[in-house]
Amino acid sequence: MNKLLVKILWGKQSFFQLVLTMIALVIGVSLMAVTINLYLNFKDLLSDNDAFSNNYLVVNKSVGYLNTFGFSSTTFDDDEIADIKGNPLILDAEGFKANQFDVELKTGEPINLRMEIYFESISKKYIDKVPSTWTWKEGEEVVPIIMSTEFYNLMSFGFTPTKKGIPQIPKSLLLNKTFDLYIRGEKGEKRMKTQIVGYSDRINSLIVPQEFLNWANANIGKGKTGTYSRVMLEVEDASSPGLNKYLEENGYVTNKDQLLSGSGKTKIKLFLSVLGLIGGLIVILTLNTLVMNIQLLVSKAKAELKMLFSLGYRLKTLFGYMFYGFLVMQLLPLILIFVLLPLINSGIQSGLNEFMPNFVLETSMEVMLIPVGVFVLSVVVMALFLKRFLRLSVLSD
Amino acid sequence: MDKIIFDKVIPLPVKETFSPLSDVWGKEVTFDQGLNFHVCAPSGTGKTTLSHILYGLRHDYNGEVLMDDKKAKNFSPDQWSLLRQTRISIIYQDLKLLEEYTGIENIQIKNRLTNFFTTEEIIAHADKLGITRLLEKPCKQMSRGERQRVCILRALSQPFKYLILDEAFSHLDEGNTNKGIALINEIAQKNSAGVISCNLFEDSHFNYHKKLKL
Repeated sequence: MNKLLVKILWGKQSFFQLVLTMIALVIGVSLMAVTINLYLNFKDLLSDNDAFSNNYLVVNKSVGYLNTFGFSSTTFDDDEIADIKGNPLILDAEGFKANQFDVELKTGEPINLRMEIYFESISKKYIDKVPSTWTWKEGEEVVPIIMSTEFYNLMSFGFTPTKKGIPQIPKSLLLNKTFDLYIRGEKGEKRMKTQIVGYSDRINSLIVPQEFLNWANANIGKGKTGTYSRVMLEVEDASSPGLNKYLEENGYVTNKDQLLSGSGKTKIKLFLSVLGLIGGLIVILTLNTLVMNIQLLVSKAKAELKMLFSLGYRLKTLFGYMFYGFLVMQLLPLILIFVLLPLINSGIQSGLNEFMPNFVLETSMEVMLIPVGVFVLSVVVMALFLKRFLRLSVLSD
Repeated sequence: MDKIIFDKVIPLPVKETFSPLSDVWGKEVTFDQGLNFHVCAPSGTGKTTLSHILYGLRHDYNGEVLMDDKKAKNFSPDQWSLLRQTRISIIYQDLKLLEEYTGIENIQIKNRLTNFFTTEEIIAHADKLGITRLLEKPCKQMSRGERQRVCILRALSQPFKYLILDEAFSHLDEGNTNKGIALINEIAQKNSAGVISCNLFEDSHFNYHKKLKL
């Protein structure tokens, strides 16, 4: 390394300005990374894993006296579902199929619990988390179940504590345990096995694969098709007044709280989208600042660069000595960001925990890749502009 | 590079004013390697322009300059850099020193390109020019004559076949001029190089093989 060359090219630059550029980079990239991290975290919370997501609603018909005496039915038929699908506010709808046979579950030793349960089934697209093991083919003995988290909570915190000798079992321990299953209907009976393979926050039911329910209803149960106990709706905005009115007019019932919370969530989503947008803008501004800084630094050293070139220094040599300086300038903020990000995140975490005690802010790999991505991008931008500015200032008269 | 040929070169700055009696502009001239040329050029006839064309700093001329039978106009910046590192050196009229830096730094920035001289050699040559005590002094504190001698030593701190002198001794007294000429002759002979010395008046600084008028 030619120390004299470093001294000549960088000696004139003001240290203060370089530090300012670095600080701008740290702030810009950190803000963006934190914003996107928050966005990713809340996005998860607001849509896919949320029981009260405003994109999905479960509706049923209200139960009146007529139902009790058997004069009216609370089930939906295909025509009603077609009518629901026809509403422009509803993106899609599907009825839950229910079991048309008796189901008995036996836990076996040591708890030895025996209970009558029910099954429902719906397409995968409506289920928030579908484990790969949630499949069934005719001939298979084990029926996989996705259990509602709410159902687990009822059992674990409502039922179990009142029964002596039945321990509370953690969610994860219950997974993939095999239980005995006994199904009995008009056309026959069968002993099978069952496993809980996953939990759902969205659907309050015990959900089995459609293949199983179709087979069992046809071969064990009544074999009747075209009736559905409840209907799942996929909607654009659950809080829309039009949708509310439609449901009311048809006598359909859904969770009112769910509808109310929908509008708040839309606002949070909007807010986060704006934050994300600001993050993107900051990056563009940061890159712009970087380009202007390069231009400034090159123009400050213009006389020296011209002279060095006329002495016989090659453009690539001059480029290299300027480039490595800028590279160091940007590596330092990158390292600083990696130190700062976990600190900022833990600060946000403790802030959020004041009103969301159970919220865990996860820092995903993608978020840590953002500073690296911005670094790579800025190095490319820097190289392109540096080359251009260098040629312009050295070769100009 | 055996020779540099000027084929009817007319620089744009002197296009309207150059003398038809000029030996260089608009004529064919060959600068053979290893020979010494004297270019006598009164003010405004394009003396510095000639130096800069030879050194690749300006390309605004009609006609062609051929180096190694290749058109110099087509050389890339990189090719010029390599020529300036190993073939052609120049003592500028306007010196072009880094004013903030010391004499030795100004010489080393050239020398480091090829590590032509050791530091000891630079000091020995500086001694011959009488500038040893100036080596650690920033150029801005030097007199014009002192700077000119730093500039001479800087130009010699590389391998070269052609040394272009653009009024290289304009601010030196006779004694210092002779010291400069002696050192240039010594280094040029080691390099088997020739000088192209441009001056306002006719001089006899070097053993000229050819004298040209601009």
